Amino acid sequence: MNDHDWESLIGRHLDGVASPEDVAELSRQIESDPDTRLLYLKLARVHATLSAAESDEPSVTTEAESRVLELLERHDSADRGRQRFRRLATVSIAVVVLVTAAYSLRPRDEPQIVRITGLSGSLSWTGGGGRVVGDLGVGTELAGGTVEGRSPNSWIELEFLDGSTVMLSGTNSMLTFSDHGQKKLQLKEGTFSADVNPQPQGRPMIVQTRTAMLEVLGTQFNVDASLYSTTLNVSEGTVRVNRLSDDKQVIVASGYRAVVVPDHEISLTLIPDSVSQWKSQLHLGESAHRLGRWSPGMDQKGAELGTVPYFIKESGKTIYAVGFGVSCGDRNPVVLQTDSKLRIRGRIESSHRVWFGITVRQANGDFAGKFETIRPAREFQDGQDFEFVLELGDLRLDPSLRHMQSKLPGDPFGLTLESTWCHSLYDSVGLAIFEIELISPRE
Amino acid sequence: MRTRDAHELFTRLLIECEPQLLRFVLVVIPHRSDARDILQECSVALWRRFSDYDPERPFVNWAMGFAKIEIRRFLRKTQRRTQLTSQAAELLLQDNQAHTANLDEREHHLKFCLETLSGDHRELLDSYYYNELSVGELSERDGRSKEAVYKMLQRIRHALHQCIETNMRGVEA
Repeated sequence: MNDHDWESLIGRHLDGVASPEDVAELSRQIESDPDTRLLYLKLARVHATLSAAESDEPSVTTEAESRVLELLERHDSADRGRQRFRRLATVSIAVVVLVTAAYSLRPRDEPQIVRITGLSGSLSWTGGGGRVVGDLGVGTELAGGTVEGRSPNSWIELEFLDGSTVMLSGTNSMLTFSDHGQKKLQLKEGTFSADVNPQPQGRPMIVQTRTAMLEVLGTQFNVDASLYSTTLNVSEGTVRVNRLSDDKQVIVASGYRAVVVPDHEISLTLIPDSVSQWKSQLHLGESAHRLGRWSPGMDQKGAELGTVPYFIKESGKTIYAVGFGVSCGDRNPVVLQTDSKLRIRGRIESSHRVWFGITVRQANGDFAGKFETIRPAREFQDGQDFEFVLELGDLRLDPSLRHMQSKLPGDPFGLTLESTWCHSLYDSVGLAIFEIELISPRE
Repeated sequence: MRTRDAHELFTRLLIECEPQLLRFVLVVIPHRSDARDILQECSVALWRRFSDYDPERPFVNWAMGFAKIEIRRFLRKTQRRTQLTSQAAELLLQDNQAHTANLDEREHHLKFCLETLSGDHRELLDSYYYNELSVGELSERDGRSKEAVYKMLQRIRHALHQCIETNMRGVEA
């Protein structure tokens, strides 16, 4: 038999229509030939992914009991009255009892105050008593605690009980939240945006960064916080900003930006016009808006940003990544045009496929998706510098966002470029970036 | 850890990794109903041994060890003539682990390749896999012979396989 015949036989086996003789022949071939095993695995993975597709949809409810019951109903319909039902039901009841116990015994002293309405990348939540939960999903309800981005492309959206939503993204992002009659949030680092419904009289939402405290009554805004500064853009309504170091206050109205840094007057300006070009400018030194191992220029070489490892606990994978914040801090928002391209220069010690991606947001700060592409190993030479231009139209929506594909734009054009990143998977391949530049040929 | 905390943590972890576990089982036990039975047995075994779980390690990796045991138990117990031999299944489990990165990447490409299918083909796949209609039911619904439906499914999967191969060559060359 040739490959095509084996493919056909494997297909019949996966569909459950192969004869016992066929399956016996297939088993013998699998036992003796590694190539057939690989072919089988390739085809079986497709079958498994398609068969389990229904389970890929993230749970939209945290009621695990109903989730499992739903699963069991599917089992029942799939079984269609088979004799195995009784045994399955017995096992199912055991699982339901476990799950019911879990939820009926949930701690009552930790009320759930937010629900996860969107996420991607690796994130964790730390609750009362220091309990760390890394396996978060859409629909999960959380008590007050801290969410932390653990990969360069982490992003999460939380919805409070009153419908107010907050989003957190960015390298090393960390947000602590609570709601004991008044929503209080602490943004240690990262990019944060919010769409806040009117809050109770005298109890505005409080957002505290290292340098400022923001009082929000009902508005739409985004904040970028780093070690030394806080930048606030207000899209709707007003926000009162209080600088922590000297208690100075300003009211920031819709369409305005405030930049708070110690020892300088609070800057209050119109939100600057967008631009369509950007350069990483590594030669200017280290920056809180980058992720990676920065090295200054030596000899004839310019500065570079080398990858750092991120272990994604949920999947057991390690990526080696660098990331660049683009429309962050007090910079102009960078908007992607239909002819925008990314020119990337760097070096790799060992040729390997590399993922390149961007995170984009709407003008009001709302998350608008992550788009990525994989560049093949053949485009890189061992120990050599590389340079290429990436057409933004070639980028595809990150598959991890498939569950919210219908809510996100189909391409990144016209959106604000929040960050760009690249990484290798599993292997540290000595990847370093010298420069990333967003070019727009029309300008 | 308090019992109620353990319950909650276990439930959360299990629900999160359920799709990955199901895909893992389906590779060797392609019949969906059998695979789900194995998953149920696996869930109970995981709960019984949950006190041994090290929360610093990925739950899904730990759970896959249990899934392998349940797959072996299933194969020993059922011994159907239309299932692979235990030795073949064991070799597949080993190779599946050895080729994890490559096979994971194929799943990534599959998502894009599915988008290249025509509306009719996508609908047929959804009906077969997602709505779990049998070839017979599809044949009746579409007014085509079973053989024609089956051949169509084979052709679509072959096209997906080729699309993935092409994308992988592009990436790996």
